[in-house]
Amino acid sequence: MGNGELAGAIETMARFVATLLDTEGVFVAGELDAPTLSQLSASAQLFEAEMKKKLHVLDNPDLPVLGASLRAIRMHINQIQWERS
Amino acid sequence: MNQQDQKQRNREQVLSLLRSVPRISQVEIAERSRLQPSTTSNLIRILKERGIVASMGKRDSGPQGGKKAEILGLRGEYGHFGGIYLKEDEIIFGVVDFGGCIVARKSISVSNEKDDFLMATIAAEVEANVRRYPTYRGTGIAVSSVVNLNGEITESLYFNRTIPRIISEIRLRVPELPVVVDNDANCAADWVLVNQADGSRNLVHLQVQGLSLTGGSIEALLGQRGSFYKTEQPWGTGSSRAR
Repeated sequence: MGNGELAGAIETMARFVATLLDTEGVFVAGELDAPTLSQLSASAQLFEAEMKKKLHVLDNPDLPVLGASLRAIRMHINQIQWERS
Repeated sequence: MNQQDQKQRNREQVLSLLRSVPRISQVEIAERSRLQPSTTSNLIRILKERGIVASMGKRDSGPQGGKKAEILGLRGEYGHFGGIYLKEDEIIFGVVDFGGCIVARKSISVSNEKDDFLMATIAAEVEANVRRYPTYRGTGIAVSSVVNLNGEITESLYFNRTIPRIISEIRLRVPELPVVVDNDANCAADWVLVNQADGSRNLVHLQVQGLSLTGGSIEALLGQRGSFYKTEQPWGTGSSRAR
């Protein structure tokens, strides 16, 4: 992805994120390299003041793996026979 | 919502609190979840009976003294769960305990390997983890994909062609092992929601991989998990949103 294309993508995503700001906050987590993180932060600052307060950036490439294990945990919990027989 | 769904939601809410707040008392769980104290007490009792939750000690009483509150926590040793992330150029394997601590991680590069080799490799790794962790209870697979308005995977190279074969390979080696597949961005967003947020926030996951940037998100209001949705190439024709 070229720099201009990435910048456009980040800006579009930031606009998308901004549409979610009608509740209590937004976390952004992902596999982002340093230039992308800095572009995202810069884009975020261009939007409403709300976004500055509510956007949190996490950077952890293992999140999908951890989330997949969480799906397995949730499936297990839902399959437990909870009621007394 | 029927009674069964409500019970399930209550359990998820309590478990989510126990996961995101490591040292929490029963009173605090009731306050934060807004569940009735009797409902909370009953749920905690059942979770203790199942070996899922354990006492982690007593909290010191305040300056006024009084009864010390019992601190509760998830028992990590209750079980181990696997996660597999299928990327274009890499497969990442992880094992977490029930408390959410990652206890093993491994990745392999997958540049030009044949599908059969990859599937056998994945299944062999899952089987090895099942042998390594006697309480291994299931595996989730995160896959890049497009989801429909209900957050269900509708199209994916992996999903349509490879995922069913991977599951078959795993089932051949470990017949009873539960396997669940979901969108990568939604998996990531859900993990953050449960583990690092307070359950009352929206969350977006962005994924920059090669030439694409994708996002998935989970909407949460007052601790209730809402719809899943994902944008694909958000700079393109626009995002699809599910309600």
